[in-house]
Amino acid sequence: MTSALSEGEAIVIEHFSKSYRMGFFLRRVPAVRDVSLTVRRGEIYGFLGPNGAGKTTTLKALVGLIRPDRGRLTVLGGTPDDPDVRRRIGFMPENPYFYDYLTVWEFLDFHASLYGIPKAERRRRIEEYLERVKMTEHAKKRIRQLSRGMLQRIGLAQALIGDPEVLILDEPMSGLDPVGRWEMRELLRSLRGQKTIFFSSHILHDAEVLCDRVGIIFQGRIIAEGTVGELIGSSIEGYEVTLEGVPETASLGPAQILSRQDRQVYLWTQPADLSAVMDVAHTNGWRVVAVTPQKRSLEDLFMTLVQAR
Amino acid sequence: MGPVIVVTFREAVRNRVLYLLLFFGVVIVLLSRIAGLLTVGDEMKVMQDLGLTVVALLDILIAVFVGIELVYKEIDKRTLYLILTKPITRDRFLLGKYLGLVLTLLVIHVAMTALLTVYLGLLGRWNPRLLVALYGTFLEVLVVTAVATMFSTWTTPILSGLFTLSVWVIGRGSRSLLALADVVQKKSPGLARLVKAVYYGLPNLDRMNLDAYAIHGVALPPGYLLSITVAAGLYTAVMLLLAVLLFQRRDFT
Repeated sequence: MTSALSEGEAIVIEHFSKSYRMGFFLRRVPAVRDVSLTVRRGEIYGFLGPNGAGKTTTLKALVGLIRPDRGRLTVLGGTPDDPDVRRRIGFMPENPYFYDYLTVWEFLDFHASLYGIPKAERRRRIEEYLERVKMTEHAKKRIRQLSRGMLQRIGLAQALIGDPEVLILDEPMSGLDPVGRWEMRELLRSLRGQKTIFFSSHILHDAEVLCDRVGIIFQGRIIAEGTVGELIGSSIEGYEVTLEGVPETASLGPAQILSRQDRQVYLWTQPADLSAVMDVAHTNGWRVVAVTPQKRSLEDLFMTLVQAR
Repeated sequence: MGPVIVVTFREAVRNRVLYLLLFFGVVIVLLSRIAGLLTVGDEMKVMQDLGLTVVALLDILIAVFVGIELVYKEIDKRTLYLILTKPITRDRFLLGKYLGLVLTLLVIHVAMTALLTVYLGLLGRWNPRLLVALYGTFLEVLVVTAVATMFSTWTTPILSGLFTLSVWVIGRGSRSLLALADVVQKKSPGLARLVKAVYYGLPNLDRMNLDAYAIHGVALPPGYLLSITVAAGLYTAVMLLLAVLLFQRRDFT
């Protein structure tokens, strides 16, 4: 194993590029261009981007399913081509596909046996992870009988069964209903500190809630990287204020009227002007219904970055 | 590799088409007595010949139709994404798939051999030389399964099926290829060279067909069984090596 990592780094991607041959003339189409990033041990890292941005290609290269045209990918000090490195990685592809003629138990037993885990220990782990993903009661069901959400949970269980140090998950929340997404998020949150998690997503809210750091990829290139705080800022950008009893001709000072509905007026104001708006409301006897602080979301940042290109 | 062998075997034995083929195989073996009675000639030889042919056809059909999907289905259904990202090398995965199918074929082969032995034994038509012929058939199955596995790593099941069946048919008639090369040698040396290249490139499955020895008592040269065993082993190894080389290079997008 080559050791390109410094202490505390779990994944290092250096100048990774990959293209595919497509179409009748097998023209080379770049999927990922010169991507470099680092994921520290114990970190939850969100790899974000729209469909076709190059997320899945990067993840597949990290687990050895595809080989880079250029650049180097290092996981836990070694190359993903090395089975000993893959022993320490758990991977769940997007929409995982299973041998649907197996039962849930047989499926997990098969994957545990690929790690060379002895039978008694396999049994213990299967019970533990079925419990963890809340699938114990479905252990004897054939996989073809499971719902989408259940499949996703079994997909996560097989990724965890070898007790890996690094989890690489491709769109773990995609296709799930709100309850399923919440459950998956909580499952990943429960692994915080125990595993390094590198996951791709185009659902920015999940990343915002879960991730220590995120990288945004667009058209095969990283266009932003950092902690969520660094990227979107922690400060409040403004306030949305709802007032009642405001006459149509009334002046609202520096506030900007967003809309009127029935007797209520919705305003937007800068943080510095909030007290002035409150004073005007108080002086005129208008009722303050709500004051909601407005923060920039990852989605706002994402749209700004993408539209700028 | 063990888990891949087991899961491949499990997949095959849960495939209903397999049971359908087995059912027809059993029916034809049981009906061989009628064929024996209806045919002019030695009834015993007809029954033995039909029995051996049915076992060979059943084995080859399963080897081809399961073999051509062996790896392709894993790629197409993306089930191999979960496997190849585990600590198993691609060559061991491929070998595990091959051996899993061979194990399935061995079970079927043994079951059909037992059926043939009991049935012909009960009718007083059993001949121990049939076991040697059935050994030859199994060698043929090992080679054809390896060919199907190799095609399955890089092309679609339809093309794999076509190519593998072609290899089997030409391999079964390879003696004719040599005769053809001799015939065209004077008129077209180029064509003769091509035919000879095909003869040497494809497996000589004809040599593994020992029906004449089992049924008609044609003598085998000394060391013949060893020589066909070695030949089958070598051809299988070359096919699997080629399959591994093709499989190692692939990106699974």
